[in-house]
Amino acid sequence: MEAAAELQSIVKTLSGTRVLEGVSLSLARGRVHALVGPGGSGKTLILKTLCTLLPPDDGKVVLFGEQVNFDDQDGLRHLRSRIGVQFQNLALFDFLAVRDNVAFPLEAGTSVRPKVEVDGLVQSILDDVRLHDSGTLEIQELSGGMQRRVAVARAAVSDADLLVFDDPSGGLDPVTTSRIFALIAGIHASRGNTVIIVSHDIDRLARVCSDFHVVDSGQVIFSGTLADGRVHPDMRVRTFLDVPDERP
Amino acid sequence: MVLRTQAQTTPGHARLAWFRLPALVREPLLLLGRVVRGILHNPPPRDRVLTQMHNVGIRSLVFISITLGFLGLILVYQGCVQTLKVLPDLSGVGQVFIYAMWRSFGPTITALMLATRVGAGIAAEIGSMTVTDQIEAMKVANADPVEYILGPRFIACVVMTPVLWVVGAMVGIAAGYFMGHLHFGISTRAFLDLSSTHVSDVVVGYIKAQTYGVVIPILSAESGFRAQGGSEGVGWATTRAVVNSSFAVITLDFLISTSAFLLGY
Repeated sequence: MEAAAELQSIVKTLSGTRVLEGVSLSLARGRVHALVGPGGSGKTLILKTLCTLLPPDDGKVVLFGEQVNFDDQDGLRHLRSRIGVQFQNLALFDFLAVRDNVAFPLEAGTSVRPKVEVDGLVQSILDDVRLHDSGTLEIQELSGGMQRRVAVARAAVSDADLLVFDDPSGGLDPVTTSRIFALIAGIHASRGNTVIIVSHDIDRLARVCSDFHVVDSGQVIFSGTLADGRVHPDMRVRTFLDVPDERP
Repeated sequence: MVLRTQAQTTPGHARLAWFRLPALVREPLLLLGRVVRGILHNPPPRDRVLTQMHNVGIRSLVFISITLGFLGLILVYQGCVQTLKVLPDLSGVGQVFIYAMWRSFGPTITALMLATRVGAGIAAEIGSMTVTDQIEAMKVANADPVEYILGPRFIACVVMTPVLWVVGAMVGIAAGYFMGHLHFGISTRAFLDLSSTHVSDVVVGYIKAQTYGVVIPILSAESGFRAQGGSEGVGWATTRAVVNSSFAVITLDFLISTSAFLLGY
């Protein structure tokens, strides 16, 4: 199957520490991928590399069949217009209201859309995340769960080809977590785009994701289905994929 | 190092690197080039510029006025006390004081106050956005953070710094007049004698104020974009912004004053 995004032998050093040690990862187009691993293993850095936000020291990034040139600002703009990101710490603009946060990727980009179209798309995605009456609220007025839903809405509003969710349910209660995962599954079902999710919630990932990638110490140590991972010879893979009788 | 990563990809970076400019000078110059180019190619919306002009100008007005008012009181008081030690005539105090307020103290003290209030604010705001990934969120949305965040603030500082200088200098002169007139009995005519103040002095003062209005937002934003880590990084960026801006103001005051003197102004 054709890959929507590929990382080939990515190496990255930050502050003198090698944080990505030859990461290779292929995200099949139109599928929902899970990226799991312990904290500090490099999951977020892998996502930032995929989003063209972190230029690697060595290795190749291929997005939508095109090798990324990190020196080509126009090329980066074009690629970024096809990516939607929900950041781990949400990165919502606290100087903008909910509606303007969600509309930001539509209004700030290079392609100008009519305001009526933007309003329609924003309202539609706010309805999807059950925030239909919250468009005028300030970010500070929202609960943690509502903020996370706004971040998910902002990532998904532009109908991107690659959707990246970095811990979409972090710190949320089980009910809100289920709703967010259902929302992501719904977005994927309706649009057929490629999705990658970082989360520690293996049970919920198992319901949404078809492909699993396990990261440890700056390397992808497994890529495949959950069933394959749970019988993988590497103990670390089985542990991260939450085989019940092998939990530490 | 968000800023450096972007800057290294621009042709301007290569040209400036060729001259081997120290990073302390090169990075702000690159940022200045980017923000000016951004404003010219894609001017920020008027409402955002007006909001920043309100933040920079109107909200600083009382602060600047009080500071320069007290400065005027102190300078005239000290000027009169020191003059009286050698001369019984205070008629020249007002002339010298007004000259100094327009040419040197007015723009420089105004800029130092702006560096602490506005510069620190810009650095804290951008620094906070940097460490919480808001800058990266902008980049993914194809919005240039330099254009989007710094553009309106830069225009506001460029426009409002000279305005604040004029208002601050007038308040300072008025305060100095009250001190000289009421406490030391200097006549209104003697104090407000403008024979020592020429148009060139006001022009030099304006050039200083205008230059400070360019330098403060650039140095402050540059500190903000460099913020790393969490709240400690934001604090560091804010401190760096105030220190660098204040240092730049004092250095530029010296350079512009010296240049004007050498040119006969």
